[in-house]
Amino acid sequence: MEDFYGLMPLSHGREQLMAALQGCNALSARYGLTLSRADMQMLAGKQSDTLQSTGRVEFGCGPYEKLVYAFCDSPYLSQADYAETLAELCVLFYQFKSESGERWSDDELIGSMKRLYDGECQGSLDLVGDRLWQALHTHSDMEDFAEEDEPFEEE
Amino acid sequence: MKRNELVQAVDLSHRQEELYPLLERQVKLYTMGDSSSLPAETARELLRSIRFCIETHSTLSGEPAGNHPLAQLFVEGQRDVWRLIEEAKLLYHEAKRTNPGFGSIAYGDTLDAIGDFFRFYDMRFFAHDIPCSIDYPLCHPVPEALEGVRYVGEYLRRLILENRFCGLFARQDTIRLLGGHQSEYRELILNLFEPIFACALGLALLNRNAAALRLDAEGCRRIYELFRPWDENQSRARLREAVNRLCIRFRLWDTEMRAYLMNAAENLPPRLKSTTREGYCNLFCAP
Repeated sequence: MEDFYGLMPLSHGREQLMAALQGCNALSARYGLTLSRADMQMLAGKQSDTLQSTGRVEFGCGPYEKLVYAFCDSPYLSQADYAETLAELCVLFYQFKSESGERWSDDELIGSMKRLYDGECQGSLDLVGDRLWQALHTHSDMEDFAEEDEPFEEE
Repeated sequence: MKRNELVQAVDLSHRQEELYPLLERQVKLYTMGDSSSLPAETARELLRSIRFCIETHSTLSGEPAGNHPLAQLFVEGQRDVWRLIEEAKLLYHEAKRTNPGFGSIAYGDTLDAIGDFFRFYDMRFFAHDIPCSIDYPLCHPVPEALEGVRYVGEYLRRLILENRFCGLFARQDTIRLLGGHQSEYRELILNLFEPIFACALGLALLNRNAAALRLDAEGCRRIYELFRPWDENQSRARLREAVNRLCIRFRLWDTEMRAYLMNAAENLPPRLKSTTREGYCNLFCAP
């Protein structure tokens, strides 16, 4: 069988990713967060490197769009480290997709990362990684990270 | 369905732009939309499965992929694979029904494993896979190039032929022969058709009653003499003639069985050429 990666229309994927990141700016700008062209290039490169190092293949645009939508309202994100944080989140995302043996869906994983990041980890990505690792090896459910819903008070 | 072309490689190297969307679609179905990425190994297996379905359709229909859209060939290939599964299930029941019951552990385990194959075989995503362990060796192994249900179907087809042949003889005679040949034949991973066929063939070579399945050292010596001095063409002709005698004796008229026995006999010349007189005894009768 010929090289599997030969099938992948890589340039096509990168264009799609750049377009998706461009589209994300429209939303994140409301929270004072934007990505420059150089940031987008850096993020695309990071995604590609991470896929390679985790032995994964991406069939969509990757997790950035979902990450931006989930994280843009986080109080721990600032423009200064926005692109860098997204890149690190992407690394965590693919690492834990693989580590979990496909146990966690994309949405579940991103949702948990966000809850940990905004919650007990207070914006520390290292802690988010540790907690996810713990959850994986103690076979905890992702629901363990679920936010406690505030009681709904009827007026 | 064409049986003579077991493997027909389909060259899809120039149609990668068509393969990718197919793979993308399979990934979506496989992950049920939960994940847009997959381990490369899983993606590779999904791709192998797509290729397997397309190749299966090309082989069974006898039409090369040509310019037909791959998506269409893939769907038709999946339908073919489904048909092959149903066919293999029938073959499986036939294999169990014709099981000569020699008590071989490997044989029994393999039949059980093939039962599990139908439970675990995932034709939608991993049609090329063989999710079971097939240990019992055939006299004529199935080509390694065959995958998935095509391998299992062909294995069962050959196993049934061996079963049918072994079933032609009285049970006590076959057990005696196998026990004499290898006292631990039940525990060992050995093909059981081969010694029975060799003994019957030896008797046919001597124009004796093959059904008796009893050949003494004197008979083996005479077979040895038949093949001395060694002449390749004459030896092959003798073996073919003996197979024909067997087929007439046991009324084996179907082409598949005749071809299988001919092939089994075709395996013998290299051994007959190089082996000693004692070697002939080991081959044709229980020492």
